[in-house]
Amino acid sequence: MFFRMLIESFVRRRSRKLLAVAAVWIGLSLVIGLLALGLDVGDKLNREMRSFGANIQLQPAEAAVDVRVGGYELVAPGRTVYLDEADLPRLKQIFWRNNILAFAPRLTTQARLAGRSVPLVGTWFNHHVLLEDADPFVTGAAEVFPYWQARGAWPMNPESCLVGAALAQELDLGPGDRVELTTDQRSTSVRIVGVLTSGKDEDEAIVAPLSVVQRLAGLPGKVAEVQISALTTPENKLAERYGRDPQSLTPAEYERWVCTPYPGSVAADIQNAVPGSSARVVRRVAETQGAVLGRIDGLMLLLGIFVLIASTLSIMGVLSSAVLERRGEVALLQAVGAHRADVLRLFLTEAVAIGLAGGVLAALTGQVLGGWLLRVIFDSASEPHGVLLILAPLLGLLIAVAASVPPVWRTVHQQAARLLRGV
Amino acid sequence: MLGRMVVKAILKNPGVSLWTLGALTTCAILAALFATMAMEVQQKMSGELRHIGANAVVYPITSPASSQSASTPPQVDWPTIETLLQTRGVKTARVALRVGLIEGRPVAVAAANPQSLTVMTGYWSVTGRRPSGSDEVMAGRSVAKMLGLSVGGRINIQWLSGESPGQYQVVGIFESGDEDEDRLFVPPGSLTVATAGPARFAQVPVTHPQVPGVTAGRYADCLSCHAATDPKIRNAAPLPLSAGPTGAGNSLPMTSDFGYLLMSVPGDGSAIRALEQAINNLEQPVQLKPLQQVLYGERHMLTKINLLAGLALTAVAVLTAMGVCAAVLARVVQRRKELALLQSLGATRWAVGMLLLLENTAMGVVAAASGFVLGTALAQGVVWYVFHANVQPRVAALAAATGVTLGVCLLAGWLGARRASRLQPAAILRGD
Repeated sequence: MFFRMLIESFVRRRSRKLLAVAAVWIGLSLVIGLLALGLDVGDKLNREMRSFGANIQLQPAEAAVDVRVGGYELVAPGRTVYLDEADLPRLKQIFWRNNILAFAPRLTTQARLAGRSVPLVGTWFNHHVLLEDADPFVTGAAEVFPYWQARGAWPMNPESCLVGAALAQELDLGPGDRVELTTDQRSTSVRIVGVLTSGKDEDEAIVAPLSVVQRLAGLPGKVAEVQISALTTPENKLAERYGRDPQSLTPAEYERWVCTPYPGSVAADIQNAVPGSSARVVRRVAETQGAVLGRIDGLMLLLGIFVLIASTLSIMGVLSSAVLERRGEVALLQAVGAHRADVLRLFLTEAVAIGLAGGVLAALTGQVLGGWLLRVIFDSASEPHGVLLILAPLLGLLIAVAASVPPVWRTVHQQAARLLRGV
Repeated sequence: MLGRMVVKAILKNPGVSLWTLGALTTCAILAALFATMAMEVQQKMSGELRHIGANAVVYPITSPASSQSASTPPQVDWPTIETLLQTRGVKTARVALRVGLIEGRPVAVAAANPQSLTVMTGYWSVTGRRPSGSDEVMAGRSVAKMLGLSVGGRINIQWLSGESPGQYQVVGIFESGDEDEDRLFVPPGSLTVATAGPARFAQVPVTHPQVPGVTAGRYADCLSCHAATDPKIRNAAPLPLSAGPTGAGNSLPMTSDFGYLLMSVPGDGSAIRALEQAINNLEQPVQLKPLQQVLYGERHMLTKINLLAGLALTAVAVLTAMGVCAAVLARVVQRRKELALLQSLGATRWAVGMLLLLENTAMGVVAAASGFVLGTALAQGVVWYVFHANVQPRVAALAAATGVTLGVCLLAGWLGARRASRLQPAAILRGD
């Protein structure tokens, strides 16, 4: 009898029931979508911190201290120490290899161009780093220096280069021009394919593929430094303590420090992997990361809570409205002898079915919505979150039951006769 | 008459009116909250990022020299520039650089006001403390390593400008991860000439054999080629190199002072461009250079945050619209007898629909006003929790709260009117 009434209720009120399921589905889809986004947002925003540039710099350990004053650069003799380009694939073989998002080596020398000496910067552009047992890792200047703006194209072969915006203006150079670069060792002809604006020294330099600069400088296979973009965790008190005095950490704390991708621990891992190198954390980028992520985490948590409250209230409103419309039906059931518990059971079972149906649908569409939002905002794919597949039906069930109980409870406690008379 | 009917209709159905008002107020609160947050978060986050250092730098432009002798770059009236910047709420730190010699090794020494420098370099990790006294120095990690410095040690710096050597105590060693690690920092009082006078180029003795394996000629060559790459320097100072390969006592041309101004400009690139124009109007021989890396990163992050806030607002608007529509439909269902009676008395369906719309609009106005107040208060709580700062009530937030709430009201009212128009007065009045 109970199930017959339940089935009849769904069959005879198909459109209303579908509407209720749709309300739960749409509301929960938004909630699950935002939750899916919220679960990934910290990681995605962390990756977006690459827009500030490299957060770790790798140099030869014995590199000397430069003296720069007002444009003079007294290059100390230690500059003759270089890193080997051949060692760089090791960056993708360290413990934190998956946290290494991009890296680009640099080698700077001087070349003569149009009768004057100009800085010549060599780096990678869309470089394929060959790795053992893995696909090649594609990296380069565009990934490490996202703030570089090239008018024209990026160099894609050893015969092409970029010219800094200031130098281009001074020498009246532009994309398509061919220039002859000469050093003491040799000379080469390259074609300018783009004008570079970086806001830094590169604005007054020629930026060419690393191999070109190595050849011109007579330093095959050598690099002066490597700029690295790594996915790291903002530093906390533990990392600060390590920075001040590594000996102050207990063995357990040290293990925690090593196993957490703090900028310092990733830098230490990198330094150990590349012989003769010294890795230093670019503190400005690291601190910015900490400031932004610390604030965003709190903000997203609060926004998530507000959205959840709003959606719960809305779904409850829709379901309550649906129950209110059926007060006459409740009264009729009571008039023909149904107990209050029977009526409650019937309505709650309906609510459970509606909540579960809406929740299951929302579990699927919510994840799709979250993935779409991630693509739109961060241009990045989302990870599937199994927990949301369970959470969505549960939420649907809870909200539907919570929304149905108060109006049904109120209705069953009203006088059936008055309700049937329409008073 | 109509107004009275609207008021009575709201007051005579307190339960469902409160429900509708609650749903509308929730909608208004969230709209005001998210609108306030969208504006405040951008501002506060930008301010937060400004605590992490400079986003632009002003440095002197040198003019072409007329002879082969050492030239003097133009005088810069730094106090005038600093006054202009301070009136515009820009934080500044003036830095004066010169070359000193420690144990015969050239080292860049920077003088800056400790407080101003702290504002610009809050991200430095300092072991020990920053210098405050005129005989205190803070060393970058690289230079400390090169010279074997430690906190508490003492160093003797010889000045290339010919001033008497200075004795300093190392009070801190810092890590920055950039070229500042190659420098020593002292308070401005430590360098008597550096912050006041113009840059000068001098030939000074450098004791070369103390740099292992390198001849003075190598130093001179390096200096020569690098200085020649910078058009400002190349034009300003033809370099009278006289260094030879014989070792000690060779001369190197050096700048003895070089001043520049670090700036933390609130706002984005347009604020910096406006400031650049203002500085140009002062007709000082300086140039403002935005730090593209910082600006790009900040702009990029703020765009993402705004997108997230906008998205959350859209989701909330959709969800609350659902809730309000449900409340309004429940209101129609509960008042179907009353609406049927109105129709039986001669009210047209259009008039009944208008009545419902007006009721909704009246409640929407109340909800928008109260929602704005509560939403702003909630935003204050959120901003205080996240940024420890206060918010300003925003007209745009009031507009957003009113706009979204009235929009939702009209949508829900239209749905309610549509539902009401389908009521059959006779059947309802019979109690069918």
